[in-house]
Amino acid sequence: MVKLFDIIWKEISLVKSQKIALLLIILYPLLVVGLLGSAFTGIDVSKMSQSRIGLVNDITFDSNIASSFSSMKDLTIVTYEDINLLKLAVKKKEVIAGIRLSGDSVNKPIKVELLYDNSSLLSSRFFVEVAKAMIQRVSSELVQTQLGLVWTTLSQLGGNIDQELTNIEDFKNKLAQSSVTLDALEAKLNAVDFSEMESTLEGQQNSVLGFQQKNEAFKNNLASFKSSFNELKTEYSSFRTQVSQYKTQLALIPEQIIVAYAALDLTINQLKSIEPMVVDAVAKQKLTDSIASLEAQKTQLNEWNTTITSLNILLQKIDSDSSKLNTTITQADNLFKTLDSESANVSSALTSSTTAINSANEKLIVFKQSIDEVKKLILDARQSKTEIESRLSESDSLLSTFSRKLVEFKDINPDVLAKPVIFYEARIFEVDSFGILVANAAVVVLILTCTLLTSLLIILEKTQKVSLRLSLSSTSKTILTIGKILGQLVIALVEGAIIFLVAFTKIPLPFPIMGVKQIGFGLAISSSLIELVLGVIIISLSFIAIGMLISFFTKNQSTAILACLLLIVPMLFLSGIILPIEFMEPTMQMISSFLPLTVANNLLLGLIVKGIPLFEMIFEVSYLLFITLVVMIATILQKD
Amino acid sequence: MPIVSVKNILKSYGAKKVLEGVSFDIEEGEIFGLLGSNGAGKSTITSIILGLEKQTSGEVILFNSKDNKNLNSKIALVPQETAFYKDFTVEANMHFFASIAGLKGEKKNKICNFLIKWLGLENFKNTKSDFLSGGYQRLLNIALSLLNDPKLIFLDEPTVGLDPKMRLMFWDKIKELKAQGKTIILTTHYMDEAQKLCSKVALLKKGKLLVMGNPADLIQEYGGIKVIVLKIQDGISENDLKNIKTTLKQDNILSKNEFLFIPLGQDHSIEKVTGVTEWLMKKGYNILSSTTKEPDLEDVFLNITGDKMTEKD
Repeated sequence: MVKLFDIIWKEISLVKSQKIALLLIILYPLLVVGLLGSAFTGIDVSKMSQSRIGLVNDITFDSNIASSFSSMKDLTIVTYEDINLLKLAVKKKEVIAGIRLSGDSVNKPIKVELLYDNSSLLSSRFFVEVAKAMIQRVSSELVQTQLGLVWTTLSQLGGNIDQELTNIEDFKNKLAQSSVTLDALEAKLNAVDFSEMESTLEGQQNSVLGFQQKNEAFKNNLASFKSSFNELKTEYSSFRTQVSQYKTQLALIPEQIIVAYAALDLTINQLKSIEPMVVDAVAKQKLTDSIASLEAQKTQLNEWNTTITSLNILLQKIDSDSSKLNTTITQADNLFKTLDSESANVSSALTSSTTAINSANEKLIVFKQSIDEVKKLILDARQSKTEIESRLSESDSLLSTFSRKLVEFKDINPDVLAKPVIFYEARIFEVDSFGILVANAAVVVLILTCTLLTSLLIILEKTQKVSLRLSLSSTSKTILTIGKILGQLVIALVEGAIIFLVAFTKIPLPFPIMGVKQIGFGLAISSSLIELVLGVIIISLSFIAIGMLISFFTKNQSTAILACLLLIVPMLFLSGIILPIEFMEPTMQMISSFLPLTVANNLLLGLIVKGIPLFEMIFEVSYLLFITLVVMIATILQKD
Repeated sequence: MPIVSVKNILKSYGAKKVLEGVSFDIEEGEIFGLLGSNGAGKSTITSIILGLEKQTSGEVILFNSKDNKNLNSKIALVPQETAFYKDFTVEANMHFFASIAGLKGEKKNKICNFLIKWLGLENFKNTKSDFLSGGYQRLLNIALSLLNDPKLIFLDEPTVGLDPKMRLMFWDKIKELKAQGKTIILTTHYMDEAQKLCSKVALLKKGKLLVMGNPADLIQEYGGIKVIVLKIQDGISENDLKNIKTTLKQDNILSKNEFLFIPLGQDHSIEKVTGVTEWLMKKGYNILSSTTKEPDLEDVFLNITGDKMTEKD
């Protein structure tokens, strides 16, 4: 036991003797945890939203998607005029990522280009995924709005459909009623006796025909009478004309007579005047005869004038009588006209009657045809009604189904359709992200120090030939190995203690020192301290074993350092500490799961972050202990 | 009963044989010298005896036991290179290895103090081992090996690189150890060391034991004759060497660098050599020194193998 303790103390002393190593053992974990804690304490994805996202909106139609981004309260959106400026901003890291929206039609999807600096593998890719999530959220909200509108419309449609269904029902009822009506109509139509009508019409037609014939005869008689009358009228007219002419002439005659008388008178006078002048007896005789003649003419003229006057009086009387006759003729004429007119009217009426009767006949025929057509229509209507009823039933059924669906749709929340999944972060483990970093930092520190220190010290012993001396000593290799391991374990525990002290304690300073207000980060530990210590021991043992394994194959310290780095650096990348294991190919994930660093990290995460009891992490514990045991046995059995 | 009995040891690495039919016995209390040039097999046979390596065939019997696994308390190795923690002080090294050796408590302190004092390290107790001179580091090396009070001590080139004073001191310590009844196996290039210290030596060459015996006996048998060694400034010319050979009727006169080796045969006298010396002086050679080299183990080795053990003055 004393020997073991001396060996343990020797290991510690070897490290102590190297001032730089001692400094590193104390400073290194302090630095790692301190820096990580300072850098990432309180890391929260939502707080990453303080990061700036650049936005270029090239949407040519009216869309509120860009404003939706700006309205998101956990985003800092920086707008750029064009894509090139945005790209420059991303390159210069003025923004973490960029989004360019483009689209020219509301009926086409909006193109979203996500720009990110892919020279940084994880962080920018992470922000792109965050941006994608934001965009999905915005799209979802827009879809929600649209679906809301659609649902409202559907709801209205549902109402309308219900109304339509009611209307259909009414219509069906009306159809049913119309059927009754049709039946009644058909009955009435069937009750219509056209024969009586036809015979009546026929009789009417015959009567009309008879009347027409009589009317024609009357018209003919009238026409011949009229013709005679017209002749009479003509003669009368000519008589009146003559009378008139006579009258006119006669009217003139007095004047003429007067004139003639005057003339005669004059002549007579002249003759008389001249008579004395005439000497010739004969001439005188002639003159006297002439004067006598003229006197006779004058007397004749007077007689004629009297006659004419009598004629005039007679003509006047004739005229008066003829006026009466004219009046009578005119009356007769008018009467003829009236008769004509009446006859025409009668004819017309008869014609109209005939026409009417014909028309009535035609109409009757048409009516009959119409009745037949109506009957056909009634038949068709019945058939149509049947079809309509059938179709209405189908429509009813469809609309009812649709209405039911709409009712069902009513029960569906469009918000749910747009966003069928609402993510709630159901954290399995209540943990500060810093706890994860502490676990990661602890395993990294432990693997580096344990592996390096162990291998270097073993190499040191080899190069200083101490291993030879030890192998020749009476102390068994087992004790030497165990002592070495335990010595390194003490150092590892010191480092672990430093890490966890800084992580778990929180001592406020009375005054800030260079901005530091407290010592420690006050991380809550999920498991018990004993389990944590045991975990650190198991992990450290395995890393010490790896260091011992490296020393098997290396002969000097520089090679040992290189070998350690060769082993540790790939493990760092593959263990999930730097890059998530999920990023890797499946084969690599499987390999990674068996790396000591991965297993150790999982163990510490389980203890610090997840609060899983140590005894439940059987794989991790047994795997690490297995490594330790195998290497320990190999060391003991190794020939010097 | 010999404390160490090595019988027909064969060790080969693949086709290469590094030890072939090596057999020797070492009696208790002897200082046994293992001599040979580099690659002769000295370290290999030492490792086999110590149990650090396994022989291909043959057997090693230590302390009447073929199983040497539990004999670490009786055996000690003082390796050629220092084997201690250079960052520890002398005392820390002593205490640690004492603990490893199974010592504890007061006994440990006593032994540590004794050894420190015995080897003249008391002024350096708290000195970091790395800061010690080469000689004192070797003394510490020895001290650490003696912690378990071994019966059999392997000294591998213990005085390499030491100044003459230190060497002498080492020799004294080795003798003291012998006087304490310890058996010592000494591996050395220094013939004078082997000659002075060893009661028995074994000469190895290319894995084979050439000859073994008391140094004096070996010298007498194989050592040859005395040699006058003249140190001549700038050496002598080939022509003059030829003349000397002709004068002394001796072809085995050797000139190397500044040295002229004139073996003294039965028919040669010092006077003749003196004449040669005077002749050389007359010729204008500056003779810096003249020594008589007695035959030694080197000569034995040379005469047996035809090779020189080491390059030396």
